[in-house]
Amino acid sequence: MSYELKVALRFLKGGKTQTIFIIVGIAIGVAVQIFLGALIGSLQDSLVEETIGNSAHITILNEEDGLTRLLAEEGEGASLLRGNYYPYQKTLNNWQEIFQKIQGEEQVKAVSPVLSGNALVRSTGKDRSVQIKGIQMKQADPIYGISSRMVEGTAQVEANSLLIGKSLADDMGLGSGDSIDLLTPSGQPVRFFVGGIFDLENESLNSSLLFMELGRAQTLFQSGSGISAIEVQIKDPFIADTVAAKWRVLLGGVEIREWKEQNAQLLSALTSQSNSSYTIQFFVILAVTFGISSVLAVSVIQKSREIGILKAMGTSKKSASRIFVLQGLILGSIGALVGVLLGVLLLGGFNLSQSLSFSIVYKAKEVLLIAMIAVGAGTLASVIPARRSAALNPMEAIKNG
Amino acid sequence: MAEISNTAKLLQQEESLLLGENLVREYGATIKTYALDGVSLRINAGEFASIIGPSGCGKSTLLNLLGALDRPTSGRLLFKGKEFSGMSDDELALFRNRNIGFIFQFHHLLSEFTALENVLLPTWIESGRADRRKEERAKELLSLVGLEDRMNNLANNLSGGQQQRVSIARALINEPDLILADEPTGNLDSESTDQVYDLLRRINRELNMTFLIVTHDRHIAEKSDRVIEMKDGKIHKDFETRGMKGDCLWAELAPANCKAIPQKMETLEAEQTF
Repeated sequence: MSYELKVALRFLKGGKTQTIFIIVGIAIGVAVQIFLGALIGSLQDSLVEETIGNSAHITILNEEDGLTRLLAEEGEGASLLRGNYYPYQKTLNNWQEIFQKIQGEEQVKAVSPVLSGNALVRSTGKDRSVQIKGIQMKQADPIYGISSRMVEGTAQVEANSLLIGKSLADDMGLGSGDSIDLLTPSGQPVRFFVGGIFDLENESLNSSLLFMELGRAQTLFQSGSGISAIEVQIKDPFIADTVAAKWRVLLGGVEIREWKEQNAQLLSALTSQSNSSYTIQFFVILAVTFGISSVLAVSVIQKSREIGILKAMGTSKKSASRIFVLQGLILGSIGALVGVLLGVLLLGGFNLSQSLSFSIVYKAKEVLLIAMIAVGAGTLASVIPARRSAALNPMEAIKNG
Repeated sequence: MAEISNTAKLLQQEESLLLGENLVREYGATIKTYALDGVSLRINAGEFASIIGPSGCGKSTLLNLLGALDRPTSGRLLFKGKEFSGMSDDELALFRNRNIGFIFQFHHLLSEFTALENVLLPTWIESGRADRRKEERAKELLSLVGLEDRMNNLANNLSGGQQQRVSIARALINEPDLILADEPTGNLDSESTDQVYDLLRRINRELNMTFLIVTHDRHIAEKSDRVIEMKDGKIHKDFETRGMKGDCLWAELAPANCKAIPQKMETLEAEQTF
């Protein structure tokens, strides 16, 4: 052990009360940072997960909006009472080609062709408007996570069997194997069977979404081989905008929508939330730095006699300053360590109390970063006291006995 | 002219350990105060010398210069013939660590360390490591000063006299050529004063260690080999005590007293208790 370290440790041990106070101070600062960071991070993750966890990050559609076109063709006062699907709606007809291209892209996690349309569900005398999604289960499952969230029946769509949400099933008193009638905008009621009931943990999806096989939907809506969209999930949803921009160039002639522009408000709320969290964290670390600095500055004055005698006995300026830099480093390290333990305990306690709808998770990387910043702050805080210690004149220090 | 010839005379001496030539130390930028005003001095190896004089006469300033704690405004300092007045702060620190032992009035032990660790400190500073390499030597020195059973006591748990004996052991650990002591007994009761003096004297005889002691205590000065008396930043008298008879010596040390005026006696007493 270097003697500077030994002296630093003894100085800290000697001023036990102030050492403990400042360590507790740093630990509380670090714990608050970890707790706040994890809380805000988890809250945001849960909000984002709720928004896009079970939906497409990027949707590829026909460039021409069927509805606009229809309204333009029929002139003012066109009536669309039977829903917004119309047999003349522009579908993506060359979708196989796009599908192939997209699948090869590096960010892609899941791709699913989908034909959507609206219909009325008629069963036991009640009518409900639903959104139908014609899918191929193999491709859609990674996006919607259907198979893992079945409440009843199996996650299969074939022929006339379809999957309905839990709320819809409850409201209409439907169970697996029951028959339901779908009334499409073209007017003909068609009979289907409930193949299974899912719970996507989202009330609006559970009460209005309905999955059927893609081919069956194409027949139902008379869209030939066309589909309404290709839905894509990507690995990092937060770069959806750049990926979308790239694909606009790559594919051409299609409209590409991504979740970020459609949820701009949510995202700006999240950003300002993050900013306020960073601001708080910054001021916490600033307060910690000033705390360490003032304790060490007082310590230099308290120990000036000792520093003087060390210098008289041959301690160099560098060593005299190192004794205080080491103290800052030690205070920062112990404070960070205790703070990490405290923060993790606090998070565990919060999760146990189950007062939140989501569990707070901390990221090891962030915790490590916060700890490292605290150690850095401790070292930085010691710079001015260390300089004073280096500049101390041994003669003066000794004379003042 | 007188000073130059004086210097030449000093340079001729062979056994000179430490040599100061025309040392001037001034303080203040606009109004200059001369703490030392042209002092030349030679310390010989093995000498036991005292510096006496009234407060503010410059004796501590001289000691600081000789101990490389401070630099002269002008003049030269030579240690074993090598000049050290122009060294950098860190070079001076290393020089002090290797060659000079210090004993101060207020003991100046590090209160967070044990007696043994305090004695080891100069060796740690020398090597940069807090090791136990010189522990045996430190224990020997602590026995020498009579503290073998107090080695692991924290400095704070020792009496004033014991603390001063620890700092004597500490001054000896790096085997310096010279020990400088600034009022080593100034803070002790008379019994401890005698103990510390006897110890210093014994170390001087047995280890042939050179001592230069700044003191107010004329009894210590009386027992020194050489007395340097300072006045107004200059050396007023510098004489060997050997061969002097008690009365004669006291006439040199305290001429006012020897006139046997009771009032003057009181003044001396006041000065001694400090």
